[in-house]
Amino acid sequence: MAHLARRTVTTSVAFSLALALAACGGSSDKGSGGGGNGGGDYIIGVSNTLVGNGWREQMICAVKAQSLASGKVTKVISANRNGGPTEQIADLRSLISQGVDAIVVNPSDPTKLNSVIEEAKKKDIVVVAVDSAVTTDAAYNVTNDQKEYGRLGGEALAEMLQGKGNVVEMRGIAGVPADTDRHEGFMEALGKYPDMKVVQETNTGWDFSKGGQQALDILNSAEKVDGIWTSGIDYTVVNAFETLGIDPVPVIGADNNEFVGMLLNDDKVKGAAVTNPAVIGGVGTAIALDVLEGKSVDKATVLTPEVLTKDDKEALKANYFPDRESTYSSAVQVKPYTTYTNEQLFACKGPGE
Amino acid sequence: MTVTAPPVPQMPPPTQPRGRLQRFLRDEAWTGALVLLFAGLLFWQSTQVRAWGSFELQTLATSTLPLVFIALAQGVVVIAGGIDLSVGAQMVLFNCVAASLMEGAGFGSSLALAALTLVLGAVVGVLTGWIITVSGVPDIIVTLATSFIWLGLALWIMPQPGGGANPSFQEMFVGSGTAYWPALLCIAVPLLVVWVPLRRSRIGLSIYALGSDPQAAFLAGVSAPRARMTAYALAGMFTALAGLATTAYTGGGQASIAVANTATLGSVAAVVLGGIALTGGVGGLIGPVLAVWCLFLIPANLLSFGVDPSYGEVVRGVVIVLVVLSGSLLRRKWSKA
Amino acid sequence: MAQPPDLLEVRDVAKSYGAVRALVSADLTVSPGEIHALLGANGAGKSTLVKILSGALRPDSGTIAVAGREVRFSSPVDARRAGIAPVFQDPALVPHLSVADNFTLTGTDRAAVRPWLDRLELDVDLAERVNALPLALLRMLDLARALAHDPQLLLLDEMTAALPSDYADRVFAVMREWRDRGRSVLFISHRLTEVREICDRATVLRDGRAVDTHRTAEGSEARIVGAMLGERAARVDLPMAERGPAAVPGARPRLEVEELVAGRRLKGVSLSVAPGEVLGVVSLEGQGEDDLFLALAGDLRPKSGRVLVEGTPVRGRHPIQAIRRGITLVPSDRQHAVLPQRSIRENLALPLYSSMRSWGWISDRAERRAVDKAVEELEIDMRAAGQAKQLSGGNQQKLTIGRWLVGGYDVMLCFDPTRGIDVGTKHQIYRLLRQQAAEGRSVLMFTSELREVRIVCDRVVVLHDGRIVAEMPAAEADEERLLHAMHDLGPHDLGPHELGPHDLEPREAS
Repeated sequence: MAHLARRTVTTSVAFSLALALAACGGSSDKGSGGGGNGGGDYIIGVSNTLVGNGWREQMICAVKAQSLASGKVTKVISANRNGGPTEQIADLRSLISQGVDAIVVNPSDPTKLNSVIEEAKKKDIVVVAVDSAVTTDAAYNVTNDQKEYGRLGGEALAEMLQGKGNVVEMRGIAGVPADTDRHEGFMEALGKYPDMKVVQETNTGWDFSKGGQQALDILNSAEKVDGIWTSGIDYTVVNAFETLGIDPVPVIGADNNEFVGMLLNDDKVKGAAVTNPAVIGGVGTAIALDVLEGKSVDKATVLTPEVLTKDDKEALKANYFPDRESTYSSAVQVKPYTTYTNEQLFACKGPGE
Repeated sequence: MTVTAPPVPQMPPPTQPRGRLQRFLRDEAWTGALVLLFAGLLFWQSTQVRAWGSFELQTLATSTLPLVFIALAQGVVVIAGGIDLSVGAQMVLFNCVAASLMEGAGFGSSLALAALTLVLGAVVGVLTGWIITVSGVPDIIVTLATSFIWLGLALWIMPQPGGGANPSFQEMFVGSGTAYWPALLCIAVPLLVVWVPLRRSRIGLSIYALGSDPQAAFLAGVSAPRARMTAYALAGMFTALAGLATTAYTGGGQASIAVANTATLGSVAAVVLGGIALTGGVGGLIGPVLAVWCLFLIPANLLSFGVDPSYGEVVRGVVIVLVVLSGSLLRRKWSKA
Repeated sequence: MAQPPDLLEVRDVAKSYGAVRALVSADLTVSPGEIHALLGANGAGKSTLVKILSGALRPDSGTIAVAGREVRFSSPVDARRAGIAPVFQDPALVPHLSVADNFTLTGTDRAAVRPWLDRLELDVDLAERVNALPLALLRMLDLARALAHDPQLLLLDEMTAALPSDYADRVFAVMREWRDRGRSVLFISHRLTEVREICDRATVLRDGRAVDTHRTAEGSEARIVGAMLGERAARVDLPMAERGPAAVPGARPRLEVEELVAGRRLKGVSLSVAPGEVLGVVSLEGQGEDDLFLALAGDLRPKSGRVLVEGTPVRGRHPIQAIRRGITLVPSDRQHAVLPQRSIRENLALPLYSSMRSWGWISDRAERRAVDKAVEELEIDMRAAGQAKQLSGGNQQKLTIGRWLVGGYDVMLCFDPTRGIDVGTKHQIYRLLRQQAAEGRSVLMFTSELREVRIVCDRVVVLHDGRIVAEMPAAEADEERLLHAMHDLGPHDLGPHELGPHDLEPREAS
């Protein structure tokens, strides 16, 4: 019998140990869960289901930086893990339980989060979907205008080629909404220039090395290429020209730090950068705070991309950071929404961190 | 030769039958400890959350529903002495099947389609068990291979996220408002209607016997192929339930390889933490349910401390290792003592 | 007088495992209302026949008829349906289920078991899990379960081995009762006294054939032993292998074992082996002999007792600790000891690799020298030098012994080293062992071939039920004396039902 008692006790001890260990993860700042609603004492939650992606990490940093800069936020809770809608619903519900006042969410699905977002609205929690939209009107949507991204880039390319020539279209991932929208915009722009011909179309998978390899293959083929439009795989395409030792043709890219640097510093590189700011998270935060403060805000905010051309050295300079990595989204401010300093963004620390 | 009467030691009277309660405590020590762990985690959460109540319970019950079913599926197979690496893929397949069939369907026909999905689940399970029996290839290999087949089928049925579900059908699983009992009911009903009676029946006992000691089971007249196929069929029905729960929870389907793999690994973790021995024959189906809940609560509770969720995963892993390690060390000690 | 048809009629049943012919031609008849004993030395084919009769194995040829009707069992269920219910030495109860669940599993009516539980005076909580109950009790429960199926033929396979005497008495009482009801029992036992007391007839198997069936009242134990041994009893022994100088009397023993208790069956053994001595160990199967050798080799942790080499105790739970003290094991199953894919050279040099003396590179030349010497001494066939698995069984066994000649040792434990080996190689091994002794090493050898005792050993101890029941010089150890001692019939009789303390322990949870 003594046996029995001992084994039961030891088991319990083992489990208590496990429990205690789990408890060690947290510490003393308990109790801040009850953020007040008045006086700008807000808690912001952020939900993301793609971990290890630079663009997404920058998006979360922007949420933290904007929260800090606003002075109205006490804490940012980040629910950040790989998963699908199932995981994201659970994360959103956990954030609701944590007593957040607003949630900035990069949705993994346009419809599957609707019911939980409606649930949040019932609890007076402001939900802002950023990057891509959700279909429920319980949420505010903040998106980059992807169609405009394609159209503006197409226009810029046509302008540089004086409306005629052979162009290559280097797309992202077939079937992804952003890719479809950009393609449509690009085609719309080219529609106005009957002398411009798309001679090659590729899917880069938004993979820089893959895009660079494709550019090499295309340039090695007999086809004459006058210009290249890319869905964001830009600087490795420019590098392909260098590898082959030929002068680059105009390349349209995104606001990747390295590409902006090339446009700014390398006279041989021609082309333009169309912004797709990752700091959309900061914009979403600003909008969420506006709603919390009782300001009237449109349900849908669409950010129009900017075009950074070689002529506008000032703009290029403002969007180039030699000490950030190559793929950093260098459009670090979206005025008038973002109020943080660049240093605050780079530091990636929320209030109280 | 004369046979002298040797000094005969007598068998001492058999050990006094232990009390019912004491035996229960001994046999259910693991489950009991899990209950304590779960209660502790739940209490911890309640101290963190401002207005803790049915919403949080609903979160717990509904979010974990697919994983609970997957863990139950894995549990049955492991009790029978096997392992199934295809449970996650099966869940994704049935999610896609159900979501594509149920789009725009009424409540009645949704129920019929759900029943059909369950039958499909049983068929998939029997097929898996049959392949393992006939081929003689270890189950870990067979189910790894079939998992690719199920995922391929799922992608073929639903190349892109989509499908739909009837709202009343969804409520049946996830409840309306903040009701958490529908999800709990969804776990309890199959357990009470199928598992509990089966557990006492010869076919259920043969599943345990197969996992516990195949040789003794054979001598006791257990047909290993039949017991194995029954176990896999049950597992298939549980993965079908997991697929239906995912459909109801998300209102659609998605053929995601990552979701399948995460679910499969999660099921093994839950089974181990739930007190089912990987060698088979030991454990019940309450343990895995509690284990899934505990594994869900750990990172959820850490969230409020601003702990990076990757560390949450680390803590989760450490808890599994510690619990399983202490469990096996204690078991070894008892068996030596 | 018209004979009633035989209840069980086995005709010319044969069974082979690969090249090994376990049963050549077994015949057996059991009449209604009789207790029939099935006897035979180790390896005579008893257990194979029992497995066939209980439906666990299918025979290669031959016929089995129950009550005049030919039957073919494809599973134990078929056998049970035909009215044959077996009880094995290791009960067929599923360890993690409760006793009651085990009854349900076999479709045993609880109401039908109850009277038998009472009859066998088993006061047991049926809700208890099987692996929490002692082995002896489980055998009794298995018997009750078998009886509840009301079989025509009860098959008791070594069921009384190591059973407490009161339990055994109840089993005998039930057997008699069963006979009185006109049913039959096939009783397999090593205990000839039991057989004489309770059985009506006995069939003796030898080398896979039924060689004798007689009424036990008419036959003597001598007749049984004679049948078990066959012509071997009459055969003139081979000359003893050449002896080196006899062990110095009174010299300090190299290996001493004091009251060693280990595993399930070894209940307390003391012995000593002097330098230059070959000590034989003989026993029936399952008397603790394997536990003894595993415990000495460090592969099984003793529960109590001591092992000393040169007067200092050997500690530890791993073979490496035994090997460091110079104790090496040559197991009977060569498959366990040989690396089949590797070359002969590597197999022989294995102890060099695992010895902790040298870190880093193993000197090629030193290895070659040691290995060449061993190859020469052992006369190993080097034509198949590439892979050990191509060697014959005998040559493989020489490898496992030769390995230690290369590695160096003081005490060699040989467990049935010549099992399944041709005569020529056997003699090489005998010579080798004697040579080792002549060089001053000590050998402890278990053998199932009793005449080897006189050929190889200096002295022999007989193990019965986990204890040593007899000891004699090899010169006096003829097979008949040994067999008597093994069956515990000799003057050292400690009683057939000796019960050790470890019989009552719960089975270990696996």
